[in-house]
Amino acid sequence: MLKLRGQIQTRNTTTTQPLMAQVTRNSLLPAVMRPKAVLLLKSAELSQLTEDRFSTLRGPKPFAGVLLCGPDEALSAAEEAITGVPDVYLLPEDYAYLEEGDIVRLNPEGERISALFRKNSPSNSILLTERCNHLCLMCSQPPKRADDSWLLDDAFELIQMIPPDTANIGFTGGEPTLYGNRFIDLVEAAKLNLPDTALDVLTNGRAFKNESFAAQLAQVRHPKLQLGIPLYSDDPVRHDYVVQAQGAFDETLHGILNLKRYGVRVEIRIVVHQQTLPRLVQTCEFIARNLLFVDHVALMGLEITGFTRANLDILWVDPQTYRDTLSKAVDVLRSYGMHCSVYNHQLCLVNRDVAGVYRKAISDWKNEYLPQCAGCARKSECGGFFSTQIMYRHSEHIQPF
Amino acid sequence: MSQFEPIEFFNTQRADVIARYALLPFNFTALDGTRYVVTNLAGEYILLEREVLQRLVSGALCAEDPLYADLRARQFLADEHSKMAPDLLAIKVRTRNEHLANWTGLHMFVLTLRCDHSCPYCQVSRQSENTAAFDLSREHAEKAVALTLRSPNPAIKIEFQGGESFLNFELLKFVVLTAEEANRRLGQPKDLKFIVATNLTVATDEMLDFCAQHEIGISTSLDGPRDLHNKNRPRPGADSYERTIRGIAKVRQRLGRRSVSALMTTTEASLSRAHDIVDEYVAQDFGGIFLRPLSPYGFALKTRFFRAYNAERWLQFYDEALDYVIELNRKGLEFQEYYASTILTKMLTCKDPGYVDLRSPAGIGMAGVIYNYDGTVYASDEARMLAEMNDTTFQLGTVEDSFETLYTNETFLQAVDETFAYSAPMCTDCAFEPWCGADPVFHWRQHQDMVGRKPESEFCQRNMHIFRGLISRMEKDPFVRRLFTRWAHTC
Amino acid sequence: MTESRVIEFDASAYSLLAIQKACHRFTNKASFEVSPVVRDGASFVRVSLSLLAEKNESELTLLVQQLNNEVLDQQLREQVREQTAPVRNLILAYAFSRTGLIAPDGAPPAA
Repeated sequence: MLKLRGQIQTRNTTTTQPLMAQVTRNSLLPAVMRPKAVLLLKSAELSQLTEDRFSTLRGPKPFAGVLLCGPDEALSAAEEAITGVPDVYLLPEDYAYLEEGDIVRLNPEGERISALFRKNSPSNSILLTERCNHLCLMCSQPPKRADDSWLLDDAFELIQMIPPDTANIGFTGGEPTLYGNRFIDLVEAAKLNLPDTALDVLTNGRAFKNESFAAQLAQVRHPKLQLGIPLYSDDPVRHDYVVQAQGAFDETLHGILNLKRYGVRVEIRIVVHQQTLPRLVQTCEFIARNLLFVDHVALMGLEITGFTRANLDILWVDPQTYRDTLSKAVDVLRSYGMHCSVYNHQLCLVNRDVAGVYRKAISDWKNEYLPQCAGCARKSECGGFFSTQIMYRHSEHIQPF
Repeated sequence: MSQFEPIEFFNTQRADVIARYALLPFNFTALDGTRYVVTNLAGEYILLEREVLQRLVSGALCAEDPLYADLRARQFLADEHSKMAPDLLAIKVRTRNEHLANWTGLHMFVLTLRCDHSCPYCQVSRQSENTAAFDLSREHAEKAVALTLRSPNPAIKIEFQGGESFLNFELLKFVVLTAEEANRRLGQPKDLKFIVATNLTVATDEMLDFCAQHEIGISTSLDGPRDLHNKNRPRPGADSYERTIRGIAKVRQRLGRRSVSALMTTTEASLSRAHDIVDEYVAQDFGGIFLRPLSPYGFALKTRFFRAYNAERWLQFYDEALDYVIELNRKGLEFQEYYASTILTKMLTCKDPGYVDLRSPAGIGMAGVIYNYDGTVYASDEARMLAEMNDTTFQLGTVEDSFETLYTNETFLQAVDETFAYSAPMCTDCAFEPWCGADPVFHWRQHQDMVGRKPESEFCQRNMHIFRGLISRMEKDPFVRRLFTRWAHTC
Repeated sequence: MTESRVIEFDASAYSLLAIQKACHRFTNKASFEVSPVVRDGASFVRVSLSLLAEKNESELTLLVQQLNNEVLDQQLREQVREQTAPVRNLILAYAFSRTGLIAPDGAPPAA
């Protein structure tokens, strides 16, 4: 699993303000571009550091920061060479994945780094807030109450820095729509700055029970927007229980209806676990009968992080035991002509009839395989595991093809 | 963790007492000795044992009853946990009825009464060289095309009939070209499709080329294997079957594998040959068979086939044939029964299968209309056949009449209003009503009463038997349930 | 042999119109006299019927049975039509909505 954020060390800091900058590996970057860029030097280069090399870094137009990334010995060795170089950040090897074109956020005072955008990743997600009006039993991003609207401010800035040829980005939380109109503004900013980039927003959809809010979002006319909205059961009691919010079922449903009324793309997401399994097939029937106009349905495997670990005893089910139920659920959706996908399951744990809708979708930075997968004939087709599944809990029935 | 509430916290109903709930609108009808088919406002069904139904209706269900959550999710009851049921039902009811405002989509043109066959069950054709007397004229055809395109339906299907349609091919061409030209000039051109009913015996290459060029679908008659088909459909040379098979091959060669469909007519001789007939359709590489219900007009007074069999006997034939088709599917052959598929579309989806003969409000005029060879306009094909027996009750007018005159015909309006199934005794309480229809012409013919009394109506008997039969088969066998669900969605 | 039969319908269960319509259905077989009657404060509708041809007991009995059924049917038709009129009118108006045949007040063409 990649470490996307964490503690680092700083040297020769000239500022206290957090900053966002694009990573470059080019030490000869034209001076005019340096204020918005950070120069990344990795292990091999560290050992080649000479005073001479660093002279360019002491010039009048410095980089916004210089990132030195490598093992402790290499970092210590480089310390001497960097005297006089402003805003140096010492990064442990965990961050060696950073490349040209990535965008990072640096907090010099708090001595923290966050990788906000990775050019080589097929799935970049922007966290807008950790606040949420749900408390899902299996939440992978446990909510916090503090005002973190600086994340939204950062997002506006980040949108302007992301390369326009990026295929897709996501907005996540917490609950992004808690920002109300500013959320709409951000979607509009995404449209204006990244008109060719698909935008996936994860939301519980409840804010859209307000018809005018749905209309406002539709009026942005973002060319490739999709909202991913969870609906965990056809039973309002069970859905409300999973998200730990009374009245959630009705508001989410109402929100979905309004969004579709205004032509916004909606995907319904169902995480498959002990609490959603008992009525999984009925839930898919409910969706097929009542929400046939929804654009996509995603059936997803459990990620063992956040609250999931605390609630493991009431959530965990070995997918081997529910493979037939999953097949039935998919069959219901497909027989009604609905588009659907199965995500985050291992190929050896699903039946063949699910193959047509099976997708590899685990974000690259947290995607791994087990040792026994090494010899598997179908490994390249398989989505593999969440890193947290490898670490904490996975099926006992993994078998290579 | 202490911050998470258990599921009981979210359930305002205590599990051990009678639940507080209200009934949503539904009807119920017996399926068999112990179970009821219960349909909600959107025409979706659930099966309930009598005892459960009684407790449901008397407000005696508990929240922990195994069916309670299902009944709530499927909109048979509502409680304080969700207020969305009315919105969801409304969307579905609207979807089910959406097609009504499209008005007439099927426009049948009788090109000629002349025919080379003399099928005993046919009540219209004439063996005659007298084209003037029995052919549709250009003047009438032109007016009929104008009336056709006047329909607000965005999709129009023009179906050519006869006699034998191809015997008046010149007029077929005229209608196609005139309609296409007029359609092009419309502010909002229709999705215009053509289909021709023909026995294929007089089809030339030139005719088929024209059909290929204008994407005209071909519908022919195939009553079953050779001996049955030729017995049912005599012509000089007693070679109807051979010509039909040759014709089908030729059409497929020029227009494509699925360009020709076939219809069968069930006669007394057919009734014992269910397997043979299905086998014939399979052998001729059709994707399915349409076991359409008989019409009593096929056994007109003037032929000795009058009422050669009744609804009950036909249902036996239907069941045998349908079960055989199911078995073929079980053995791996993908083969559909189109009448069941049509009914299943109404039972399992909110889509309209476009079947004019089973709808409420009745499909006469509103879904389909027929322009006869002599310029008269009838509300349905059955209405035209009734006129052949000197009963012009359901004639809307002639092609000289305006659209307004035709569709404000008093009898037509009265028929549509009075036979509205939801307003008819017995139908109004029937669980099957959302899937059923009104047939004023049939009931008028049989009972001299457009509404009919459903307890004595063969129309009702037939439909109830089929609804019950399809449900029973699905309940008994998950394979059939999956098969029927697929069929329902391919209409 | 009795030429005619007299039967009475409880006016609180059956409307006069329903009874008249029912009788009308058999006017090819019998002639009818329909008259309202009040007795001991209760209202009835008296129907007197006599066969037009084939005057025999069993025919008469059969006709009375058929008439009873027909009265029930007509009564139900009337009641159900009234109860379901709003739904029926809504759906028919919608069906006619794009034909250009709807009157300005939104009503479908009158039957």
